[in-house]
Order: sequence, then structure tokens, then C-alpha cells
Amino acid sequence: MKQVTQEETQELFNLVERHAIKYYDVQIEIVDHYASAIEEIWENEPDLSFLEAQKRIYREFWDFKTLEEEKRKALIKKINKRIWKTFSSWMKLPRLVLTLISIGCFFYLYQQSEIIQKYMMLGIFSIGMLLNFYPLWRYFQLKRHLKKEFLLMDCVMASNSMALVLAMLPVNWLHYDWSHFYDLPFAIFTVVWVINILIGYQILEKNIQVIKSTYLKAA
Amino acid sequence: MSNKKLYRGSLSTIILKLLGDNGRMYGYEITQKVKALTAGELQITEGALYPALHKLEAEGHLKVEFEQVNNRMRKYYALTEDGTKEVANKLSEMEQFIQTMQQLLNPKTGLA
Repeated sequence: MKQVTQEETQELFNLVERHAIKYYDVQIEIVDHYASAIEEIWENEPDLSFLEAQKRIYREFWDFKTLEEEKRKALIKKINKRIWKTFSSWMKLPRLVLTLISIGCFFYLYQQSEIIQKYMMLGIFSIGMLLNFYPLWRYFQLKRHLKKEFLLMDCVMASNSMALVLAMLPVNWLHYDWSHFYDLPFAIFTVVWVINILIGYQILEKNIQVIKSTYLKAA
Repeated sequence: MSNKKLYRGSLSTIILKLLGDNGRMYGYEITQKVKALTAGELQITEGALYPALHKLEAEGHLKVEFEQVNNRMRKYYALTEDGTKEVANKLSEMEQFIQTMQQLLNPKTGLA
């Protein structure tokens, strides 16, 4: 059976790109659909040129941009579901015990002295920032290496933007009188903040791994 | 497909059932399978199929895997454990729907 060659596959990628579909994870599915349809035409008309077969399929093809938008919606829904599921698991037994112990320990240590307060907060916030930005840096490296954009990661970052906003909050606290936070709500907030950072890190890392394991070989 | 709107609401059920029967499938294969099974009466458009597949994947009913086929990557869909349960739910909903429609459209049969 006549098959779509490597060069012809690349032509299909170029065609999809000309329709403003820049994401590789969206392009792959469209290109395979396109190529499968062309190969099916060739089963009955093996002498038909690639260009002619492509034109024939193209006439009956769908709106690429709508497909991308629908995929975006589905991905955001999936990621948000995962974030919420992970977050709520910290608020349920047995992890809830760990959450409460962390709040207690934090509250206890925080009340010990002003120096402990400052170093502890500085440590927590520095590690938090690192955990938030290190995976982003790794993703940009990966993107540069693959020379491709991924809708999945755009959606992860969109969903994670709230986590990033929250992550920046402590920066503002540095300007205030620290004793103002010398209370339990502050301890609770800080622990939730740490959980939020950990989840953001976990989600980013997991999806970077998905991209690496799925697309690194093919690219 | 002349009665597109009638089928549109059943697209998820069709996809889940096909994957239940055939194991993993890729997008184009699904459209061709439906076309063959219905002797061309039902032709799923790509614009309807892929959003439905992505939605089912996001809901956790489908899992995906990639494979290198003929110089390109191919995305295969298969049922998850949740998806397998969902097939049974969707099919029973569909049977119920067909029964109700039959009662509405052929009320005499119901009375006999």
C-alpha cells in the first residue's frame, strides 16, 4: 500500500501551521488524520499524486482553529480537575493530619523569636519560589530544544497562574510589620501556600515528563 | 449524514461503545468504522469527533498512547477503568431513550 512519505508528512505539518495551528500536540492528530485519509484514497487510486489527494481531502476538511479551542477547553478542565483533586487530598484523612501538624509546628516555631520568624519565612519563600520557577525554566529549555510549542503546557501554565499569583504574595509581606502576622490564620495561610506551591510543582513536573516521554523521540 | 443533530447527542456513546468492542483506536479509524458499520448512513465529521474524544479524555474515560506509524505519530485512544463503567451506563441510558421514543412514536404498540 502506498504510504505518505516523511517529506509529505512535513508538508502536511506546514499546511496545518499555515492555518495558525502552532501547537505540536494539536498538529500531530490533524496530520495523522489527513495522512490516513490520503492513504485511503491511494488504496483505490494509487496513481493519484500526493498534491491531488491532499486537495481532495482539504475540500472536505474541518475548521482547525475550532479544534484547537475545543482541545484547549478539554485540557484546562482536565488540569483543573487534577489540581483540585490533589489539593483536596491534603484536606482529607490521612494527609489532613500532616497538614494540621504542619500548621501546629509552624505556629509554634513562629512564636519562638523574631529571628526564627525571619529566617524561617525567608527559607520557606525562597524554596517556594525555586519550586515554582525551576520547572518553568526546565520547560523553556525543553521547548527550545524541541523547537515546538505545546498546548498542554500553555494550559498547565494558565491553570497554574493563580498559584503563581499566590506565590508572589509573600513578597509583599516583606514590606509590612511581621508581628502583624503573629497569629494562627497566618500559620494556616502559609501552610496552604506551601501546599499550593507543591501542587503547582507536581503538576508542572508531571506534564513536562509527559511531553518528554511522548514527543522527545518523535521530534 | 442527513440527521446530524439526532446523532450528535449520542456521539460519546458511539465512541465509548466502539472502543469497548475494538480496544484501542485512532481518530480516523473511528470515523471509518462508524461509516462501515452504518453502511455510510452515519459519517462522523472530524470537527465533531475530536472535541468529543478530547472531552472524554479530560473526563477520565479515555487514556491515550502514541505510536510511530508510517513516518508519523499516531494517537490511540482506549477506555480507562472509569470508561469501561461508563460504557454500561451510556448503553443503558440509550436503551431507555430508544424505548421511550418508541412508546412516543408508536403509542399503539405500547397499548397492545
